[in-house]
This record gives sequence, structure tokens and C-alpha cells, in this order.
Amino acid sequence: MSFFSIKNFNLYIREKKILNDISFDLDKGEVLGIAGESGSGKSLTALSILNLLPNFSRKTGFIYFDNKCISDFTDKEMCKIRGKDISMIFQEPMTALNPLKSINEQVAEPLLIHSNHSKKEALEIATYYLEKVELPTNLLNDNVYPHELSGGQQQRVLIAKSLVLKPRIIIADEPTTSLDVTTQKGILDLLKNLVNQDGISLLLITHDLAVLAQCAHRVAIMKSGEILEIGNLEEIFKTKKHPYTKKLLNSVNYSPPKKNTSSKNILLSVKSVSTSYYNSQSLFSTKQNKSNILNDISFEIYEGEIFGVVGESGSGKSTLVKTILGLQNLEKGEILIKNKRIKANKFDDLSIRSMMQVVFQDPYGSFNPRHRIKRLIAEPFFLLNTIQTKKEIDEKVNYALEEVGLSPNDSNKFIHEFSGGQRQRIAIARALIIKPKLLILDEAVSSLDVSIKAQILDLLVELANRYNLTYLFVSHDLSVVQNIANRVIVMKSGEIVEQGKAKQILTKPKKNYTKSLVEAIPIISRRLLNGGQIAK
Amino acid sequence: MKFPISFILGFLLSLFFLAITIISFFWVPYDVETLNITNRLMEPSFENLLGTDHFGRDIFSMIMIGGQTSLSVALIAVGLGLFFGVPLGLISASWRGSLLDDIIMRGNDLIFAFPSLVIAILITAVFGPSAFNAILAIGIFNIPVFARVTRGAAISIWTLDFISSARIAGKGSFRISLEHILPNILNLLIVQGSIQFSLGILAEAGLSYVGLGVQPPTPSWGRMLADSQTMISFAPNLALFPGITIILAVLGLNLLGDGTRDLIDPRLKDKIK
Repeated sequence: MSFFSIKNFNLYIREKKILNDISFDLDKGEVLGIAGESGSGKSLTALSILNLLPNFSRKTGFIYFDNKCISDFTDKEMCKIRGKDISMIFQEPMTALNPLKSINEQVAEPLLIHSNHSKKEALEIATYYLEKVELPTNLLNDNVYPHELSGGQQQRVLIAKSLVLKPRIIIADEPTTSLDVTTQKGILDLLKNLVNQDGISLLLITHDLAVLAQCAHRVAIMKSGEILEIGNLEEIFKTKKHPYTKKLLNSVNYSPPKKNTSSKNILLSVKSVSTSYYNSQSLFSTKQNKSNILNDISFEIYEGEIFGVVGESGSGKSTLVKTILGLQNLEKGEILIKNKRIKANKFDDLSIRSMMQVVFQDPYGSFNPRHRIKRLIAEPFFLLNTIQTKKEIDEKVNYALEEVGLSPNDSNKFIHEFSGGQRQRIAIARALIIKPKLLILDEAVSSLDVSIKAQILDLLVELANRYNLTYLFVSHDLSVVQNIANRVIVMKSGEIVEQGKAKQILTKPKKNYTKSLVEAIPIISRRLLNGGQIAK
Repeated sequence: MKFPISFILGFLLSLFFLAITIISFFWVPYDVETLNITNRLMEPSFENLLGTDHFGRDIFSMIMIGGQTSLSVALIAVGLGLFFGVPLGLISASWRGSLLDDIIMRGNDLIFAFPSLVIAILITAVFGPSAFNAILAIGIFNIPVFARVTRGAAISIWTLDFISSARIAGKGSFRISLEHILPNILNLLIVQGSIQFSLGILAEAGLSYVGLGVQPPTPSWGRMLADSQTMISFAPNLALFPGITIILAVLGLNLLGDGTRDLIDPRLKDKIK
């Protein structure tokens, strides 16, 4: 029998069934991946194991660990297990570390709680584990604080913290989701090695099937609180027995039909643009710190093409978007749309502004929660000089809603009544209602689940073909950009590393940086997906 | 539409105090300016609903008339704070980091730096003690409170994506402040408003206590409370009733504020039971 198992576990929150009959085992040294889209209950499964459940929850069923039924344990008894035998790594390393304590102190903390080590010993052990998670040696000093570390390094610190008590199980809840692809690869490799070396079992929770394909031995596919299927990675991925598994796997690396472009008319030209941030000009401070964000960026976008911008966090993608939208001042250079100059923070020429619109990443922050959908979508009409009657606006709003696959009845609702995918559709409707020439998609599909992402990409391509729209598609996700864009630029620390045809750059990159990016994309190998057969 | 229970309770309480105050303009059970020493310090009875004070005046009538001063001082002071503080906060939020922002906020700090009572004494020393001067003194100190709350909340709203998309739709900072920022910080302002209202009643009591508010014999709730303190050992109802009145009025307005906040937030609509 396995040393850890869950049997017929049910969870109710406010008497609503959240988890339904969850059962699985975990063997020593095994990596079990739990995959599912948002709301599938994968995180709550993890929290149930540690009994860190929200208020008003009720559970039935059994969780066995070491022949003890830990689902019956009181909170006090659980405290001896949490962190010691079963530890957890969270998604957001920035919020999981205390900014006021040095990192080795934080790594040593579980030792001081659960064991009898002196503070000095604990700090020594902490340093040992920080070395083990391959933190650069210059960060192993006594007084290193979380803000001095990058996101990936912070996640390494948290892994070290979860390791110091030599746990038997580590639960990793989306450990790489908030990290860049290159960093993600490092963290996954590290976790894999730890499992192999120390025989720790890993419960890896993720929405990204490609991540699972890289390191899991077994996978469980979850949907609306149930485990649909569980088994060997290869078996599940090859046979795709359950239709939902099939749907998920097909959505990974989904490639919508590409848009054809032939036009050589330049729509947007960015001419040697540089920007930098100054620290805020205060009444009493005279010195100014300058930091370059964009450095001599030039490119051109032709009418009707889908132009991809790829880069890791901090590469200046968002600043580039802001400068094109005229929300941020340029230091040098100029940006022209249809040969008209975009002036930052000037709102005198609305005709320039009405040529472009934007869809943002966060479907939750993109809308005023107090306005109805009707008013939200109609906002860009402000840009048009023609005064329209209420009826005309209503008709156009209804048409726009239908176009993005929603119903005109939705126009009187508020934004909180919609899911993330529907909100992105509304954002697209808002952007397209004044028929702009250029649509900027700033990580527009990054926060969506895979199956929803595929639908939105389809919709985008369809709309682009229908209205001959031009897209500036900004993303950190190379696989998506590769599948949708005609041409791309790759950015790093405010500079363009490489530019050219999407296919060429992302399959045969010339520059080392692009190569490292491409290699780091987690992919599900064709062997795994097709059962050894060559893809069509 | 369903009203939240806190809204109903708050509305009824506020309505009650508003009603007795308005009625007091036309009719009170007993004249509060005639002294009737033989009837002094009576227990509550049918003739004198809440008893009488040490001059034999009917406490219930005094509370009714006292509401005129207390409510108007507190309400107008909050109104003053909102009227000047909120626009100042919105302006400095939309020009955050600029010289204008600095000037507004440092001006705020300047007012914060003076103890309100000292300024109130100054104002009354120059213009003479009256209800109007009390309102002015309390109201001036509400302005920086509202400006700060508004600015802080507005700045956090300014960073959201929907503000960017409003800017992309060509809207200027004045329009954005009015259409997008203000509705989204209204809940905070309502809560802060009801807090400042209660503080206003208490501040008026404080000013009256040192003789700088309304002048006797005109009663106010705070004044009644202050006058009763020497007799608290043998006539506790003198302190008790104005005290309870202040508590209920403040509670009512707080509940009304909370309820209104829930009512105007579309996100909370489904959750109200």
C-alpha cells in the first residue's frame, strides 16, 4: 500500500459540493501531476490534504498518511505534519516571502519551529539548502532580502524552505505559472532532481499540460471537482480516453488558421524610440535617477498583418504598448500611424486615437465594475466626432456583442456576471466597436485557460480576416505567438534582439537569446501525443 | 429590489431623528427656555417622557431642539469636507507626482498639524462664539480628511486597466475622474462621511463644553451631555438620554452609510439577503 492515499474524499463549502469522490495514491519518489482548468478544484484538493480549508467547509472521506488517517486530525495535530512531513510551494513567490526578513532566516524558520536546532545551526542548514537549490553564491550571505532576488530565485528560496525539514511530500501549486519560460525550465528541472535524489514525492498542480509532460510520472485530469481519469502520463496522453482530456490536449499549442497578408502599406512605424523612467519629481528632491526602458526600438507593421512582440518580463513590452497608445512620453524617436504622428498624452486629434484600440491581459481589471456592459462597450464612441442617437448606439453595441459570440441580452448586465473568457470577448467587442485599424493585444490570452484561449484565438483570427484588421500581438508565450503571428520581434531589456518571419525565428533562431527562449518552451512531444506515430 | 437590513435599520433610525428635529421647529411638548425649578430632576414619567433636568426643563423637548444644532452642525461640516476635500483629492490624484499635488497635499498636512480645538478657539475668538463658527471650525478640519482618503483611493483606481482604456478612448482626466474614479471610491467616501458625521456631533459637544459652540439656553446634544456631568451620581438619566441619542443617531447614520454602499455596488447585489 502507498504511504499516502486519499479515498472517496468529498468537500462541501457552504453545503455546495466542491470536490466529488476524489481518490488517489502517491508512491515514494513519484511525481503525480494534477491538471485542470480554473475552478476544477485542483488547488482545493491540495489544501484539503493540509487541512487549510476556508470557513464553512465540511468534508467526508479519508486521507491516509503513514497509516494514519490525517483527515480526522485536529488543527493542532496537523501543525506537526504541515511543513514537516508535507510541505507546500505556492504560485506567487513574491507574496509568499516576508519582505522584512532575510532569506536564510526565512528558510531556517521551519527548523526553529519543528526541531531543536540552535539558531546558528538552523542558519547553517538553511545555507546548505539554499546552495542545493542552486541559488547564486553571492546571494548566500546573511543579509540578503527577498526584494534583491528575481522571481525565479524567490521561488528557489521557497523550495529550499520547503526542503529543510526533509519532507516526504511536497505539494507544488502552480509553482512556475508566474515565472518566465526560461526560469520555469530551471525550476522544473530542480524539482525533478530533488525527487530523484531524495525520494520525495511531488504533487504537482498545474493548468499547463506541457509542464506535466516534462516531469510527471502519473497524471490526474480534473474537471469541476472530479477526477476524470488518472494513470500513467504516457497512457493518458496517448490514448486520450476521456473526451475532456482530448479537448485539453488539442487546445495545447492550438494553431488557428493563419491570416494571409499581401499588403505592403505601412500602418504603424516605430522609429528609433527610446524612453526612460525618472524617479518622481518631488518638491524637495533635486537629483533624478534615470533608467532606460526602451532603447532605440524601430519596426514597421504592414496593414492586415499579425505582428508579434515576444519577451520575458522586464523586457519593455508593456512600455512599448503604452508609448504606441500615446499613454507615455517618448524621449527620442517618433511613432507614426498612417503617417500621422502619435503624440503622448495629447487628446486633441481624436482621429489618430480612433485608429487604434487595445485589449489588456487582466479580464478583471479592464472594466469599470459599476457600469453596465452597454456603457462599457460604447465608451470608445467618445472618439468619434459624429453624435449618435441612443438607438444607433444600442444597435451597434448589440451587433458587437453578437459578433464576439455573446447575446444582446447581456448588454444590461454588469461585468462581474461574466467569466474570464467572456470578459475578454467583451474587451474585444469594446475595442472593435469603432472599427479601428490597429488592435493591440497586450497579453490578451495569457490569463485564460487553454480551451478558452483556443476559442479566443479563433475569434481573433476570424475578426481579423473579416475586417482586415492589423494586430500587434504582445505575449511572453512563444508558442501562442508562433501560432498566430506573421512576423515577430523578440525583445530583451528594452532592445530588439531579433526580428523577422514568425516561423523562421521561432523554429530556426539565429541569436542565442532567442534560442534559449525557444528551447525553454515546454512542449508535449509528438511521440507522447500520437503513440509513436508521426503526426499528419 | 431587495434592501439590505442594515440599510432599512439605518434609514429608520436616521428618519426618526430627522423627524423629531423637524417637528421641533413647530412644536415641542414643553418650552425649553422657561425654567421650572419646582419640577427639577424628575424621573421619567408620562408628563415628562425622559424626565427633567436641574432647571426643570423637559429632557425630551431638549433632545428634539438639540437635534437642530447637533445634526445641522455635523451634516454641514461633513458637507463642507466633501465639497472641498473630494475635488482636491481627485485633482491631486490625477496630477499625482506633480507640483500641484505637492502643494495640495502639503497644504493638507498644514491643517492636520494644528489641533482642531485651538483653531476653533481662534475662529471663535475672532468672530465670536456661535453655531455658525462651530460649523466652520469643524468643517475646515474635515477637508484634509476627505482629500487624503480620496487621493489614496483614487490613485489605486488610476492604475487599473479600465482607466487606460478610457484614456485610449480619448477621455481627459476631468472626465475620467468623474465617470470612472468617483463612482468607484464612493463606498469609501460614504463610510468616511458617516465616521466624520459622528465625530462632528462629538466635536460640537466639545466646542459647546468649552463654551465656544451654541450659547445657552439653546440646547445641543453635546451640551446636554456636558452639563450633566456634575450631576451624574444622583441624576444619571441627564447624561444617559443625550448619550443614547448621540449613539443611536451615529449608529443610524453609519448603518445607512453601510447600507447605501452595499446598495450602489452592483457586485454585492446578489449577496444581499
